Amino acid sequence: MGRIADAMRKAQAERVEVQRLGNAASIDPEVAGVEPLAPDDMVTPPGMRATTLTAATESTVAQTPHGGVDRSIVGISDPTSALAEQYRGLRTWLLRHNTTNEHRSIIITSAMPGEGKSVTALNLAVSLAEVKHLNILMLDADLRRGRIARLLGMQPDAGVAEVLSGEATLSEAIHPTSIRNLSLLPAGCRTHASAAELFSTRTTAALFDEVRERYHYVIVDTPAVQSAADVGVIGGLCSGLLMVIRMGRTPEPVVKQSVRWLQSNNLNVLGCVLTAADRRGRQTLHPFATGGLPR
Amino acid sequence: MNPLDELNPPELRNTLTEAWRVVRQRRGWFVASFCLLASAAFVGSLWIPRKYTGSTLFERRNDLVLQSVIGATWDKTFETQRRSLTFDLTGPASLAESLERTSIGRAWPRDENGVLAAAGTAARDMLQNRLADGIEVKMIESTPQRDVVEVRVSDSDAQLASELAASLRESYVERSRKKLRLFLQESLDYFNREYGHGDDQVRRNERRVSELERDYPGLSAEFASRATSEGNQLTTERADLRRKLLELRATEHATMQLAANPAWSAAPASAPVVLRDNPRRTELATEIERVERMMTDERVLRGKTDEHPTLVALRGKLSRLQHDYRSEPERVPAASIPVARAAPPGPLTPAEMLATTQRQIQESETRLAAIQHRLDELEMIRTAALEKRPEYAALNEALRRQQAEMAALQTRIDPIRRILTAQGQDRGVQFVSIREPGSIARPTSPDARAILVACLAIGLAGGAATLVLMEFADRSFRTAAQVTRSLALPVIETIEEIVSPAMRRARLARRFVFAPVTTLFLLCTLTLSGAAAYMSLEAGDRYQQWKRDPLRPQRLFQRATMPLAVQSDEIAPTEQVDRQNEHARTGLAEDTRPTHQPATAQTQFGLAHRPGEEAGQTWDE
Repeated sequence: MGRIADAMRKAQAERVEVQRLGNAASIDPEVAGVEPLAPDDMVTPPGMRATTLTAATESTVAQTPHGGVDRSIVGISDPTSALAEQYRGLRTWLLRHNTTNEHRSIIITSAMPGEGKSVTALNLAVSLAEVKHLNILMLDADLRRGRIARLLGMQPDAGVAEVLSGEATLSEAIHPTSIRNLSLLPAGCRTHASAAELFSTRTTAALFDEVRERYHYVIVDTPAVQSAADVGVIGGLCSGLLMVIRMGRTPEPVVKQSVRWLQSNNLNVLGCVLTAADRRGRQTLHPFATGGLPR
Repeated sequence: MNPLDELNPPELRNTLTEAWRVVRQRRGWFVASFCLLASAAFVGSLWIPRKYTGSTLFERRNDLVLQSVIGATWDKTFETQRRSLTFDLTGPASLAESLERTSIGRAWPRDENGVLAAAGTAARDMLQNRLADGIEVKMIESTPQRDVVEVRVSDSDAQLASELAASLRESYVERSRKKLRLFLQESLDYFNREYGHGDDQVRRNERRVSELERDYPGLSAEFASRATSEGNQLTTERADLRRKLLELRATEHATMQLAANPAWSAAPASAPVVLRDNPRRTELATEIERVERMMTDERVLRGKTDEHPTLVALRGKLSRLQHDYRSEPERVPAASIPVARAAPPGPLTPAEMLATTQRQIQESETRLAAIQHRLDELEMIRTAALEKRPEYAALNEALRRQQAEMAALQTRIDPIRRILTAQGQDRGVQFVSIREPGSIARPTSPDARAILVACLAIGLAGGAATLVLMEFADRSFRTAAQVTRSLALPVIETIEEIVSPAMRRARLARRFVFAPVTTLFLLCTLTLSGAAAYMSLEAGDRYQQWKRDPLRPQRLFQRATMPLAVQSDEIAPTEQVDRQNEHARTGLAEDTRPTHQPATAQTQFGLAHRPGEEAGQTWDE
């Protein structure tokens, strides 16, 4: 418990520091005195994103140029592509349906592994980070096979596992990335077979409270529903959940069962994101959800 | 209500779009299924039993000259043959006989007399049952003078079909002529027999009629009419004689008185006597002339002989008339002058006058008696004839009927005799071959186009079924609508597949290497199998050749491209030079022959070509 309290105190200090340095905008831009930006200025143009590193985290971040990021992160590798625009569409939906700022921690999961949830989560986070006034945290909650850091070409030494086990502070675990406004809380170096128990502690709730305080949006990558029950634990700590479904691969009964399981655990499934979709046919033009996000 | 309104175009469009999506996403499977199934169907079609049809065309011509000579009877013969054409050609007996003439039939076991043994008969019956439904006779053209007939035989054995078609035709021609001859001969014999019986009957009746007429002359109508006229004449004559007799008796009496008066007896009568021509003599002459005319008519017009009762009666009558004519004086005193007052003619004395008168009286009485006798005779004849008249009439009626029947028989016999004579002189129904069966290379069933369409349809159906099965078996989501429907969750965004370089390389390899190779392989399989199926139906010879030597085309190509010096070492140098020259001249490889030239010795079914048969050959005997 002492170590946890130390970690909490350190996190508070970092928050103050970040605010002082001006990297973290206040949740309410008007309260922070930030003038509203014009729509064209809200998003950082793709070619002008600068890497901003805090002094505290500079040493922990592998100095990776743009080439170190996996090509599947189209928001970075090919920001002008149609794929990147599709992720921006997802971002737009999220922003448009979150007018009350209620859903700021979004879990990205899927029924089966390999459906593209990590890539989707990271691309969503990257596209959210394009919005100038938003601070985004990419949280890799897949303690068994976390890939987010690898996708970003980073090799952090501390992550969620270390934070939850008290081996590191939140500030030590959160790493800035090469993308402005985007920070990464990787899964960690240690793999935990009992990740579910780890997530079941109060530390996890405090962690999520803390990151929600610090960041506008927290995108959480979790294991697949059929692989682990972690999402059931983490889902309670987040405000919404996006189900990633790979077209033409995952059997419908499995997806259905997973969604039913999530809903039976009172998790707020906001909607589905279809990956590997064929957008050529009219059938693949999705009917966008109308109205606000389900509460 | 417009039926198009029920189609609901948006749903239809959605359905079609969905179908197109399925085809597009699984086109590889569709193509593979289509090619493999179609190829399998093509290969399977090679085992479909083939049916070959041998057909021959021949002509039956009527003999116009014979028709004009014989008339309607000949037309009936030709028409009778036409009506029984199908049975004569394909009836059980004809078919059995035709089968025995084929090469298969000749190989059946026979006894020492050449008759089919039990095994041969069984084999023939079995083959007959098999072929019976495959034989078709069609009248291509039919006019009163000409028939064009086509005989088609369908069977799985091409050689048998061809041979049997020819054999049926030959059998039919022989049997037709034989049958006609037999039929005509039998008819002639029958009519001759009937004519003979009728002739006997007629002769018997004629004989009986003659007997009756001879025995009862009054039976015949002519005799009756003659008897009646003779009776009338005799009656008239009798009346005249009686009158004359009265006059003669008066004259006799007067002459006796005169002779008794001496004054008158010495002095010759000085009063002249008036004479005139004897009218009786004139009548007799007329009657004689008439009888003679009648006799002439009987002889000439009716062809009766002198022994005929009619002529016998007439002759008798004539003799009597002539006798009377001779006995009548040429001139007789005039009747207006009384004989008693008339002076005796000339120098006759009363005694002479009396004698003359008495003689005339006697003659008249004699004649009168004769007349009476004749009249009695005639009456007796007439009375006797009355009893026999019914029998005589019946006999005459029967005679007339029999003669009419014989005349009718004769009208039938004459044409038959003429037809038979014509048959023996190569006239009559003529048969001309128009088309020979020939060797059959191409089966009539199954149809190549039908096989092509059916196999491609099977491929298409199989491909479609594969798509349907895969679609049903695929439980994953394919469209956003399915997701929405299944999970009741909104689809926020659809993200296309992110293709990594490795994936792109794999896809390129799949698209530009694997897919083309596979497609090429499948198309080659499809093409080869389709070509084999088509060739087996349309070019059986070449197909059999290819089957026997599948590598032949490859070898031909190799030989064509190989340098001449590297070719077979077995070829002698001179021969090789000859071959080289031949190749240089013809430009052809050694083993290639023009495909339009048939095999020299045999067709694919081992049937030697039949020499000597040409269209236009007739079978007239």
